[in-house]
Amino acid sequence: MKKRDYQNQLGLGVLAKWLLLLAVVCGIASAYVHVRNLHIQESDFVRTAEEKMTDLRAEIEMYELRIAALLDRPALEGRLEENGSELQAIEHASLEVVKSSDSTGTDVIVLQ
Amino acid sequence: MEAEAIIQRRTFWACVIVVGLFSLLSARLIDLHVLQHDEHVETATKFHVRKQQLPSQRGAIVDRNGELLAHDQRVFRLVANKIHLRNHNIAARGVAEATGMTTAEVRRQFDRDEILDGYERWVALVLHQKGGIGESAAELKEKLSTSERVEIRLQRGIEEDNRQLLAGLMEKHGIRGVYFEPESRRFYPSPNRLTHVLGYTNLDEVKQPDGSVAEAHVGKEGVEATMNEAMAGKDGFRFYERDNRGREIAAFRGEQVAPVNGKRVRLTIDMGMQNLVEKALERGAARFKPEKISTVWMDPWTGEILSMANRPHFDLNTREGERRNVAIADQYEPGSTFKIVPIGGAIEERLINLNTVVFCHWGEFYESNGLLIKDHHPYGDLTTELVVAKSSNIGSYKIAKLLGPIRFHQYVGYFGFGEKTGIQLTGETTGTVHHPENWSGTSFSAVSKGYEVAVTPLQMTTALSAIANGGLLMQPRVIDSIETADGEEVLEKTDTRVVRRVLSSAAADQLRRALTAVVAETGTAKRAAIEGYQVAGKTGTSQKVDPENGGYIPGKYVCSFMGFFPAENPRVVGIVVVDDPEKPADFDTPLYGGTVAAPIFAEMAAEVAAYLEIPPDQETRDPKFETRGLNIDT
Repeated sequence: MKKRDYQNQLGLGVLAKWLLLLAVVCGIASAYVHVRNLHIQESDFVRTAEEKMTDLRAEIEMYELRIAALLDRPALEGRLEENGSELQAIEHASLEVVKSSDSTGTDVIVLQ
Repeated sequence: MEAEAIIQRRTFWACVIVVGLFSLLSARLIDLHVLQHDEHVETATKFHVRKQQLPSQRGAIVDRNGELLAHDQRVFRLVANKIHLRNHNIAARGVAEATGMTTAEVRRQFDRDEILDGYERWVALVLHQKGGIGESAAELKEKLSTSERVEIRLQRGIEEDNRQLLAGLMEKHGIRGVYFEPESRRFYPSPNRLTHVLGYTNLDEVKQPDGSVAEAHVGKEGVEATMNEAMAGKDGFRFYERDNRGREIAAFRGEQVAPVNGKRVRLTIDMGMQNLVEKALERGAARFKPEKISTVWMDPWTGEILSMANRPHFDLNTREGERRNVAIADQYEPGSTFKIVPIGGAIEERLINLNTVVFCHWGEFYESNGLLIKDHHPYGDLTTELVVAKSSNIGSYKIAKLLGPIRFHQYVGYFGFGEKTGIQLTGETTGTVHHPENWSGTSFSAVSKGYEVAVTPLQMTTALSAIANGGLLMQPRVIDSIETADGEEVLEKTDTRVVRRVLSSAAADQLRRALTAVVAETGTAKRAAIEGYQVAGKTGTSQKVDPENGGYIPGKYVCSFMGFFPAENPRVVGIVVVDDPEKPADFDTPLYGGTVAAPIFAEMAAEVAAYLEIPPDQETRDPKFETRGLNIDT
């Protein structure tokens, strides 16, 4: 067996430095990928939350408008009639608001 | 040595090749990143970066108490994308879902056309039978198959809860290629109230600040039109990047301009009062079946319109019905209500006072030129107050003659006739007032009793307000203020505006007293009286003009009553104009302003008085009102 006539110039220290450098680079790269993924996950979460908020706002607004429509006076009267309500319309002229003499008191509505 | 030389040569060439390859690679990179940079950025941007329109909301309309009258609502339209629907992979997955087979089995058993056709059938079936879209599944399938457009609109106006249901349904049944696109709808919670004042909008294409064109609601009539600029929002936009699945990458959001919502408009209208007034108007319309009927109610001190309504009218949400706001857009000959002009002018000019006696020729007065002026009833001497109370044509004409045609015509103008009031509504007409130079031999007497002159109900209300408030002609207004979109801050308040002084306070006071006599037991409008309040007003009955043949139509009348109360310190002025009423079977009196319009006015006035809590100004004979004004401890 022929013996090699040159010696390995790469010392253990140098090798260790290169390996360390490689580990640092790999570490940084992994951290970058990890942070980036987190970032995208967070962004996804933000986007989903934003969509949800928009949908909820729209839904709240829809219900507010439906309530407003349900409170429409002619519609209310119509529903009462349809349901055979025995409630009688009280003419405004038959009502009287009796003001409280005490400023903290409540006004009283009296049916004449 | 020989071997060493070979190694060196090989090493050299290997290096040359490696360097050469890397140089080529570098050159390509330089070509891509530097020389073709802009081109590739543009291509990438096209694929990944999208500009999204951020729709603004049109401003709401609320009444004086903040009650919501009009609002933008986010709804959705369901759109099928033809390219996506005809994607073989999507279609195969859909058919697999429909048949319970695997996608591979579907591909094996059916050819491409069968799969595409089968998928369209499946989409139509699911959307119609489970989602209620379209008139029938067959009709929907036909639409999907035959439409040549890439984007096929399947349904509009889908509300948020239905969108969520449909989205879940589509997800469950593997429907792809059908999407929801947001759109806005103008929503009126009370679609049969205040219709002519609110007006309506159309969905038009509007140029945005960034130069793009977007669909937006544009006001066409009523407050929606006059306040369009304030209520119109400005759409925003944003650039965003999408990943390979088409989802937004929120981390890479680009330029963003937030939408600016339109401002909120607050009206002077009181919807509680409006409802009471409209109900009474509907009862009047049901009883007399007129061609048209209108009412306007106003605060005489500020010009604020509290209520305005007409029948027929239209449904704000469907827009079916009559859209013409008769109260401001239609003119009619006012008849005797116009007598406030000659009598008011003559009092102002100190030519007469309430005690001045006018001889009324027992119902028939012949002018020097042979013109006959008649009264409905024969009267001899009448004081000015009684001329007003009895609505004598002869008395009114003789008083107008004291003024003379030119001064009389001036007062017609002072009271605001012949010009628009300037209310913030669309379609207002000026009415018709002829100059004395253009009068015929009969015109002077005709105009003095409210003929040969045409006015709008709003003009008459404004003129009467000038008498009610002590002589000031106020500009009527329906807009109270413009506010921020959330209503937190008032941006612009509409001020009360005095147009001019028409009468002195003393003259207005005298006329006001004369008008209370009209509603007294001996006046023409005793049916306008309401319990507990002294009402002042004037009746009017005029024959209807035949617009085709000229002249008047026999048996057709415009009956009106305008009034205010409490007479001494008026809170509200109102008018009821009934155009061509029919005589009900149980109606035993002729159709006059005092018999048709006055009772409707009284019905409204009683409700309005209670609603606005106007303190009574008269002793009442009715014991049920005896507790009024009582203070109690709580």
